[in-house]
Amino acid sequence: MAPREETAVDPEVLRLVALARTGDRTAFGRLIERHLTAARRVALAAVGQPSDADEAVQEASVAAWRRLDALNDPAAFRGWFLRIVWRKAIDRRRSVRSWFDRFSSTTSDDRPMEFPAADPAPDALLLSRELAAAITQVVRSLPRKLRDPFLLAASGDHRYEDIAVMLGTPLGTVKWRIAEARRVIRLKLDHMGYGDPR
Amino acid sequence: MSTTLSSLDSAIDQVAKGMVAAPDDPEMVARLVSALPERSSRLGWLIPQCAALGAIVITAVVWSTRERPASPALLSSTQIAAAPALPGAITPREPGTAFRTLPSEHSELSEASEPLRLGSDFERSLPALEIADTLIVSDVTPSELPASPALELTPIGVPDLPLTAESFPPR
Repeated sequence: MAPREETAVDPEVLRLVALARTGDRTAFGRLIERHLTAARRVALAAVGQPSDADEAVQEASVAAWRRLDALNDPAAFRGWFLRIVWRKAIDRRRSVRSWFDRFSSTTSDDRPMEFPAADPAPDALLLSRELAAAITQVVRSLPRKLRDPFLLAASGDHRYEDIAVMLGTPLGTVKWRIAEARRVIRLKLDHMGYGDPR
Repeated sequence: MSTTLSSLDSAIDQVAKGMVAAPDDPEMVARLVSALPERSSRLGWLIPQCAALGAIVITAVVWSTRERPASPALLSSTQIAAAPALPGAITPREPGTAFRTLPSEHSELSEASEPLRLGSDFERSLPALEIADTLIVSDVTPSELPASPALELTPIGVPDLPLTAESFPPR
């Protein structure tokens, strides 16, 4: 779960932002397309369900389209857009309707995750479906303050600094929460019998 | 043990990554672009604020230029000094003298200028009523009354009512 390395300024992003500011929808679409996977992961980390995540991304795209002139540094479009996605996803998570849907509907998100054990190494054999379901359950039971930075870091799309800005939390706090989340997960798995055999 | 912990960490990382993995949706970008609204101008977001500010300014201007009721003018000290002198001392009148007081707009000022005197307030009373003439009623005879035409009454004729053959049933 190494954080993403900082990339250099992409001149194509600058060009697309300039075109989008003139009202070019195609250029804006290409901008979104470059960061769509990261945006959906960010939204999923907040809301947990793909349908809610896609709606949050759509709302964030409209908001970014409207506020494109407020972007001071076009080279920072990615972080700016992902922060909008995160806020929209958090708004959706807080909404009453989302709570109602989460508790009233049974979607595919409630099923244990299919865990691909493609690694032929012996350790990979431990990653059974039951273990994957247990880990999923433990991660979902984490407090939001621990779960949000942990899942954002797990996506591999963001540096710790980006996560700190996105969450509005100091960098040291983000690092501690991620480590604490991992410690709590290990501890709970150990109580469930998936820990270190003694 | 380290191998086990490493495997567990790896499993946690893979599961966490899978929890935020979105399924592929190649049409999503097209849907997002088609849902974009028309972009407003750079200062478009200022329009509502400017409208609200304009409404406040117009309200303030109308409020400040409204017609106010005329307030009583305050006299300066020089104007008060130049004001006409109040009537002088009032000479007392003898009791019983009838006189009429005229209404005055400055009655309060006049009264205020009079020295306060104790005793009966007969000078302020209404003038005495004059004695009315004696009412003389002389005797009048009927012959002295003015003549009037004789009263004539027209006789009232009552026609005979027709008789009917109906009879009242005995009870």
